[in-house]
Amino acid sequence: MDIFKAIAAAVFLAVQVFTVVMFFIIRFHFKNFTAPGDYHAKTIVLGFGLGTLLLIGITTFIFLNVIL
Amino acid sequence: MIQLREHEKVLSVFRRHWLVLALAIAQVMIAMVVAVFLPALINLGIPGIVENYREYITLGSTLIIQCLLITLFFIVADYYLDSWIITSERLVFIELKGLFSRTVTSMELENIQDISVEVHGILETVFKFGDVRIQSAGAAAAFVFKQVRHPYAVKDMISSARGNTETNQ
Repeated sequence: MDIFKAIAAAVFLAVQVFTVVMFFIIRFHFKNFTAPGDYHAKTIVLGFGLGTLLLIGITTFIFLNVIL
Repeated sequence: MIQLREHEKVLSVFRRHWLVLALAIAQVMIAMVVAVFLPALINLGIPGIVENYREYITLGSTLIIQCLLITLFFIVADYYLDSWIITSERLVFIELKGLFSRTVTSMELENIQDISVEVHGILETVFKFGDVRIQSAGAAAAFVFKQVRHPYAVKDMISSARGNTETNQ
């Protein structure tokens, strides 16, 4: 069970790190992607990215608390 | 950033039709619902297995949900960051091929040789969206505004912008 906990924690950590890195790469390269004055796309993608980060955090929290 | 030239103005920015995004999101949502009920579904197939392997099955289910959340973000980012821009002097094509790879191409309006519209299938016909293919002088491959709303109006807008460029010269 301890190995299982370690593997589960490592996998969740990897998913979260990947998501955060992906989010910030998009965040800091936004100017290259969007048309001048296209704030609409920026707001939606960044909002959705933050929502994804939050949901991934919540599911991890639930899993680690309820199951382990 | 896309640098506009002096006196250049953005006339319009196009993205794929909203239905394309909605269909992609719907597929992921269905997969997410299946992942949420995965333990119950497995229990229906092989009774008692969930009790013995509850941690593993829940871990698998949670990871699938997280991957689907990331996929959902990919889909939304890809939809909003793929855009086709008509300016007073050129067309700009911005496409994400994966999250960390992108292509930005521009075509001068005066180099446009041919514009065609392709509408395939029931959904595209009913919801009025399709591809606008633009062939330029010198380029082997055509540039495409993919699955944009009202493709015939887009074609007219490009033709009109090209006409204005010729008039100004």
